[in-house]
Amino acid sequence: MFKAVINAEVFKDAIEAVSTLVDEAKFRLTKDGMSARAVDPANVAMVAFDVNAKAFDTFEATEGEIGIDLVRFMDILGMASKDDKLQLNLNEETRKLEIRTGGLAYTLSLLDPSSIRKEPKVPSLELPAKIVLNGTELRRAVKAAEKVSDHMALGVQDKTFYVEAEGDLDKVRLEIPESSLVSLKSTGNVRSLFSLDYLNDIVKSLGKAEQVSIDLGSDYPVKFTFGIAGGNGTVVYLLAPRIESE
Amino acid sequence: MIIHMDATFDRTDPFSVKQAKGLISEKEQPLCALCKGMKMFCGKERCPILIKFYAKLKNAPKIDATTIYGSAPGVFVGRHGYPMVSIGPLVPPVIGDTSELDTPERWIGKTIDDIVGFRSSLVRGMYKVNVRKPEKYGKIVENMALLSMAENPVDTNAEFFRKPSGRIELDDEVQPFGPSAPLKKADLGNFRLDNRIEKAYYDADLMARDAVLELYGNDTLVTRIQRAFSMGAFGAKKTRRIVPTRQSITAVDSIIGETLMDEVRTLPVINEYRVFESWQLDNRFIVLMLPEPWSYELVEAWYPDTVWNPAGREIMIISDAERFEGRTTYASIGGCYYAARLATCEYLLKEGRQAKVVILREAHSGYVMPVGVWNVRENVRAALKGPHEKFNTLEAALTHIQTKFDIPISRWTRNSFILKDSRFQRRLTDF
Repeated sequence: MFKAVINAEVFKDAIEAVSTLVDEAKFRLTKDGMSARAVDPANVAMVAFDVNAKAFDTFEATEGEIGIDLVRFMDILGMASKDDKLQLNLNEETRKLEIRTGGLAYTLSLLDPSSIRKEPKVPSLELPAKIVLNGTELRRAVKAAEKVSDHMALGVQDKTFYVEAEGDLDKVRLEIPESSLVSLKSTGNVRSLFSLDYLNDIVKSLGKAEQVSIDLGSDYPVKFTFGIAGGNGTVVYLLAPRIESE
Repeated sequence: MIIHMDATFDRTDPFSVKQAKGLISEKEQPLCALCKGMKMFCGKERCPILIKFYAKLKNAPKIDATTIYGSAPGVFVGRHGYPMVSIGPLVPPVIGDTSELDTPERWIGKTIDDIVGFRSSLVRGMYKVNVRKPEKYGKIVENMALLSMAENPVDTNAEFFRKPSGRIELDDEVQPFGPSAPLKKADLGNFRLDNRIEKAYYDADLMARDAVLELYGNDTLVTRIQRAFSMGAFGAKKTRRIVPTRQSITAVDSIIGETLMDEVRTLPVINEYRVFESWQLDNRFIVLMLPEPWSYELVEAWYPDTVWNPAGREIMIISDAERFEGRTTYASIGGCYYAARLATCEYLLKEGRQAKVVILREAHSGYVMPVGVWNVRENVRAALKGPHEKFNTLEAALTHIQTKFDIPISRWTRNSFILKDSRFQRRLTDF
């Protein structure tokens, strides 16, 4: 059983965090909220999504799993206006999700959860640096890097967080000292390289967050953590690094 | 003054882009006039103008008339003036089984001379029609539609308003054909329709996409589907329209490819690295399959003095790729991307496997003129029918490929999304 009411925009922003990475996902429902874990087909990026029942106006659910085609789901959510309420109701018999918003009633066919790619094993990582900053700053850095290259480095050097991209001809570097960050903790200098293809997808959702925390190592995956649904949910992205090319 | 000098320089520089492009079109160049096909100033191994000239000579006496009687193996739909385009039969001055002339599936192993030779005997009739209103033109367009669905070449008596003129037409996507003239009328002899295509034609509710897929499933040749597709033979009755040959080719390659890809994505991944090769018309093709989820890329390296790099002094590399999910935009490198993708999916489906596939193509200087995307489709099919080498690591596969290619792997990698991704991108599962 699943029945909930939530602000349409809040919910759309939350789901977008998952839909930028994968086209379909398995959502786990409990009485306390909903969650999802998904990895992209190439095993490079992973998202962990958790929304607490408190983010909803009303939320009732029993333990269960639903498979959602996120492309179609986002399409429907896109029809809702900003302040509309969204009513979600799972029809157990037909295995369809009924979505009501602003007078529109949709019925979304669900996917068989077993047909969706298996949930990833979360690698255990101990990352030596932790940077907390505004999401907009990171999005700006990614946009700037995209102009010169297809990959960029994230690093910490002498208590300064930097983003750097180098193309065949051009180079761009953004430095943010500790004083301009929310916080920075690091046991030494670190640096890892990442594909902008993925970062660009990730910052779509992350760029809207007030605070993003970045856990970083050297040639290790990066972990981005930020809040959604007014602090009643969290999204964690893990992104595998690229190695420096020849 | 400087501007003036530049202008002068431009006119006399034989390798300026403007001039060099002229080598592909019909215009004579001062350089060529000096050379007359003897000194090879343009740097090509063989003179493209001469090839066209010889091809024309063979048929010149036969086209000195305003009517041609021959067995038409196909039709052609032009793209200029869209939505008002010229359609018409391709008629050779020969009666008999001319089907080979319009069946690229049978052209592997032929030389450029062969292909240009027999294609240039095809005279193209041109009749202006509005692509959206084919029924408005009555019998003549209806006949062309039926001709496009014929099982075998159709005896055609084509009458033109003037003597066919022009040399062989070349295009990167469409196979070459000979001179053309405005069509007055075309009388067709008796012929049978390909019953598979006929069935789709008379089904007024069958969507074009489904018709294409059904025909492909019935083993209809891709080029046959493309021909009927161009004459608007498929689709819900009201939405049928004529489609320029060039676009029909890619539409059909893309429709079939997309459907095959959906199946490929569900198959188990191959276990090793596989390398295939094919070498035709001075085009070297290497197909590299990697044991990773489906993803596809075509990388083309054009040597200086090849068709599309006539003015360059350096090798030019272009590429386009798609990830597992597929693509929604048109591939920047054109129809060959879709033709090769179709051939790749056919192989994977037959093997019952999926893989990440990158096709590397070196077009060498012997490739003096474009012959159409069939060249890419059939070459990749040929490569994939042949034997392949197996490797346990990507590095070993690349070392092997290096022995076949002149361009260093590092340069291929810089220009390849897939090679970069597989060589430099690590996976979460590595940690």
